[in-house]
Amino acid sequence: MKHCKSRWSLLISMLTVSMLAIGCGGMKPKPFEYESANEIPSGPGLLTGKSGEYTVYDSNKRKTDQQPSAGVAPTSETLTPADSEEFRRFQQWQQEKEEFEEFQEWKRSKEGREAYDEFLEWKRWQSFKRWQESQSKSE
Amino acid sequence: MKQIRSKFGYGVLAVLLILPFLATPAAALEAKLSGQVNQLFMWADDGDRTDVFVADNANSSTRFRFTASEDFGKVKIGTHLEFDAQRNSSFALSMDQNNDGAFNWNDRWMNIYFDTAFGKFEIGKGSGAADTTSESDLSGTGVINYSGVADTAGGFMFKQGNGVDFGARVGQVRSNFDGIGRSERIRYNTPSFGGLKLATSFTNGEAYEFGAFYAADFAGNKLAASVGYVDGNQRNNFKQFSGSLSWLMPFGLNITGAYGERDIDQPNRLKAYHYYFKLGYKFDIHALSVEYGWNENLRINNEDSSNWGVAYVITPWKPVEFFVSYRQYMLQAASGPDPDDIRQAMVGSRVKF
Repeated sequence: MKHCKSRWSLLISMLTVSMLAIGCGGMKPKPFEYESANEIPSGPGLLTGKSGEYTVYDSNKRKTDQQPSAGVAPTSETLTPADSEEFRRFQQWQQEKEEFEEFQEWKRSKEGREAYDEFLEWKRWQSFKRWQESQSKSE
Repeated sequence: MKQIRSKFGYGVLAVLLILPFLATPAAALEAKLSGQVNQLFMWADDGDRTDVFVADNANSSTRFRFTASEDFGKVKIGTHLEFDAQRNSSFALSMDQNNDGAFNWNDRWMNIYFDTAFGKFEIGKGSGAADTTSESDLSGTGVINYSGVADTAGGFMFKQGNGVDFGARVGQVRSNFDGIGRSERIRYNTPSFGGLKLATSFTNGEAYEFGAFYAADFAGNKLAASVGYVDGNQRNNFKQFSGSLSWLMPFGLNITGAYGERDIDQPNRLKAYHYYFKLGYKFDIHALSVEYGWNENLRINNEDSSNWGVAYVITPWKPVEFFVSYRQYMLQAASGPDPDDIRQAMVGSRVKF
């Protein structure tokens, strides 16, 4: 091995292996971030979870926590009565939004369609019953 | 050469002074904590005695790290603090030892960096530009066997046939010539050019380093390569060149090689050399490898030291690795009979927390 002691031999060897790898791949190289096995490995940690790091401070999270949520009502000094009522309805809608979306999804399903049609039929029957009662009272 | 070093230092200083004016108001600050514990159980035989040890795996020591960074428009500014917390390092074990060894509290990184479109500037304790240039390794067994073979046996003394100390420890006759390591330095790293990054650093003792790093995937073939140069100047009495390459093929077979040469600034000293080869196979959560390496003329002229080893690493869960390894270290004396071989078997685990 003494005859291979030059740095040029090393560089040529590395170039050869590199060209071999390129030849085997036959494609444009995609850079990747090399990680040494002697450093703290990336990926999840036992205590730190999926990120592998415990976040001591995150200014983005603080800003999100500090922003007023939809549930926090503006002050009465800035809203008219009509605005207040609309905001109350908006809050209620936000709370029920997820349930509403699930309901719509269910309605689109075969089982949901049949059940909803039956519900509409029941509503029509309820209206009919009320009409019948009003007719009998008027007589 | 002194003028070049001075100009380099002034250049980096100028950049560091200009950087604040390129920054815009802060966007996002993140501060994070991470770390690992890495322990092993070792059986060792120096030809005269055998002993067992429970030690910290110096290949990748027990440590914790604190990082913080914030984006200021086009400039990312961050800090990196990292400390070893090692009890009974595997690098410093001795056959005479009957206790838990020393506790080492070492600063690995105390670094500030400025990451810009023009490259990354660093100042503080951290890797020099040639650090890790001997250690490119895609085998998956680097946690227990890699080119730094003295990390698991550096303190063991070679013994002559009659049990008398030969006068050389493994750590004195084996080195992978991996730059200067970590030091208080200023460092510049270029942006990545298709996977290629260049780096240069300057440290106390007017020592400087250059490094080039390349990592790319060619249709499933992963290639990692690096070369480095060190001028130790007043800090270390040598000039040094090093390089390594590792190729991981799509079906799991991998080959790794490292080479280094050191011009020692002492009268009548021959050039020292380092060679290292590893053949490995990775599949699923398993990795196996066999290695062979040697140094020539490192401690004294015409003294060669070599080793071979096998390793197996399994990663059943992402944060947890288990490893098993066997290594044998040999010394070819410059004169007289060769000392006994040193053998070791290790089993252990690294856990990231």
